[in-house]
Amino acid sequence: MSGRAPAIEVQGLAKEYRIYGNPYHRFIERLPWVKRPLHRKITALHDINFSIEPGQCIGVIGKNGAGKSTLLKILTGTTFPTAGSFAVRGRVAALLELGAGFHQDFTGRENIFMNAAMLGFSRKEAQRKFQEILEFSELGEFIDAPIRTYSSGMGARLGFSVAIATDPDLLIIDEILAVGDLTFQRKCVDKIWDYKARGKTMFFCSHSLYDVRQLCEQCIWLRDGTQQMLADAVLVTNEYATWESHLRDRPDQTGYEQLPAAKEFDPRHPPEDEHHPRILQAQLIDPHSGQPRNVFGPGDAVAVRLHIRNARTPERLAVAVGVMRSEGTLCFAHSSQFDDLVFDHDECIVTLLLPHLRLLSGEYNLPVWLLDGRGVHRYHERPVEQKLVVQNRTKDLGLFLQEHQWQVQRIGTQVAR
Amino acid sequence: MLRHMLAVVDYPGQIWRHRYLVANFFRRELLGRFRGSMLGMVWVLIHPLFLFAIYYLVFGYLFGNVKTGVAPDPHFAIYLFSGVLAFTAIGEATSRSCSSVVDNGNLVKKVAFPSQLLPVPVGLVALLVYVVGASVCLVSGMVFDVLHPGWTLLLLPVVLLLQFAMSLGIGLFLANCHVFARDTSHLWGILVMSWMFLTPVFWFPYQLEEKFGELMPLIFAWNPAHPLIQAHRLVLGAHDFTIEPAHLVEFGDLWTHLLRAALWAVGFLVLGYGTFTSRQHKYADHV
Repeated sequence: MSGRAPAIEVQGLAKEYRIYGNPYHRFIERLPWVKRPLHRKITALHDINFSIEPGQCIGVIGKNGAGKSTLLKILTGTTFPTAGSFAVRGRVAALLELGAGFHQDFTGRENIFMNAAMLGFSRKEAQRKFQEILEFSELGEFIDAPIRTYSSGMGARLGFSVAIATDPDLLIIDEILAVGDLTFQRKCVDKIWDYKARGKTMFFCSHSLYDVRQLCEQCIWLRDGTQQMLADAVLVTNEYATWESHLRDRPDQTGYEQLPAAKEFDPRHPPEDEHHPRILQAQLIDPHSGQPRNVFGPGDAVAVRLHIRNARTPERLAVAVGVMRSEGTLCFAHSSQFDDLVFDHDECIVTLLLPHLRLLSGEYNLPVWLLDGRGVHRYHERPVEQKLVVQNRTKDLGLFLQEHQWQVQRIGTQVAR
Repeated sequence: MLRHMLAVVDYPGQIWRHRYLVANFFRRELLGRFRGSMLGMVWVLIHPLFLFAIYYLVFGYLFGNVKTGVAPDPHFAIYLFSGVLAFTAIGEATSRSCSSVVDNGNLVKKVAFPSQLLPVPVGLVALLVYVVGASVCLVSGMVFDVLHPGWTLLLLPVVLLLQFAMSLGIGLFLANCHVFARDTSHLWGILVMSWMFLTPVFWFPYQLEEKFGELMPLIFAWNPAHPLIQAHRLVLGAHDFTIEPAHLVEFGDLWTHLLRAALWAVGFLVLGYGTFTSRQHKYADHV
């Protein structure tokens, strides 16, 4: 704990909305002879307390409607709490909705200046930042075309570029890591890490528990507007995942959503093949012979062999392998980044060895992810070519073979018959 | 509320500090209107030119010097034209300000910025449009020997400032109302039209006295737009003139008009700024 003042301090924050059946009820209700309230109260947030040290990243998770967006809006300063207090130090930039406030009929250039003015920039500052924004957004000559001619990706890119260029002390992010194409996503992730490395504070709201774990130290779990939990991010995301799986009454899917969802590979842009690291081949093999094999028994040694090709300019990479039973239960997933294995070879074979397969009979799919060295950005996802088929040699039931022992102990004395 | 009203003294300072933002909004407001049209800003000029041509032809021949029957009398056309221009500027600025917060709901909801500045660029655009129209009016008035501008033309910026302040005050008040009751803009549409007919735009003040007695002109003098419109005409060089049959059209004293308009402007600004800023924190939840 440093002695610095917290970057955000929130005490007893609450937000209540009044819902009126009819816009006139708001006025009628004020009349002195109307006694009966005409509104319903909706508690969006109730008694939220936390403080963040500068340089920390705090995650916010929760179901839709749990109050995440309201909390973010309050911290941004667009809406105000009904009770409690909050203090945010320094300049705040919010990536709530990228390109909020862009005027469709104006060019990208005009919108940059407009947006910069709204974020509190002077003309000089805006002009100084313009080149940086233009370069980062990669819009090129489109910068002088009206925004309405942009694709949604281009608009989002411009929005992100402007917001990040303001170099805020607190960055509020709402599901940001999915902007534009792979190259741009990578740049965003880098920018966010860079930002974090400079000791700036971040407030990150996401449905991806995996992202929250990778980026954040602390995490708040909001449930129906109340602060269910505030602790270490790994702890909170685990608790949340368990709770959510119970809620959905499908306990077998626990954890799958914690894995990164790989972005669709767009076949129309094959050049990405060249520019991005790829998994060329993913195979199940017999670790003794080195030959492909996909039928195993419990206790066997199994290996997954991945042929990885790096980008032209090699990046630091990590891989993750999951094992999912045919009906969708994620049995386990390991990331080399979790185990501190990161590599940057041009081309390499990575082998994951499972010396004692614990799974019981069934058919399993093995998704494989190729991640950046920090485990945030996903370059490529593909399944292992074969299905893993496990055949029992025993009569054990269930998902996996738990080591076990039986004991029988007699209680009392035996009566002679 | 009182605290918010008194804070109006800081308003000009805010506008100045955020001049870059205001300038950007101004550009957006102005260019946004003409984006995609071929003539663009030229429309600002074409509109008053046409308006005057029609007034001159219709009212010049209809209401002109019928007795002599020689040339159309431009007096009424200029009188009407100057009044319509000035009042349209007020009407336009207030109506557009009225919906400014709701129209920019996307911004108000998502970006923390001083939304009390939203009506400012709207008022400035109305002012610009007025200045172009007034130039047309001035030139045509001088051509037809109706307007004889003198040193009072130097007071035009003062009149413009007063008009701007008054429109801004009313606009802030309306914008606040419109957030909570979306009927405001419709209601204001009717009110502003009625207001125009209650202001000496189409008629001469002497007609009031003639029809309703001496009390009526005193009541009508309380109309906030009255001193402003007359001040506009006076600074453009309008002089008392006689129309047939032998009625003297008077414009009153410029300084009295300016003083009255200033009092109204300050009053509206205090009211508008106070109501707006005291409820500003609720806007994001309502737009």
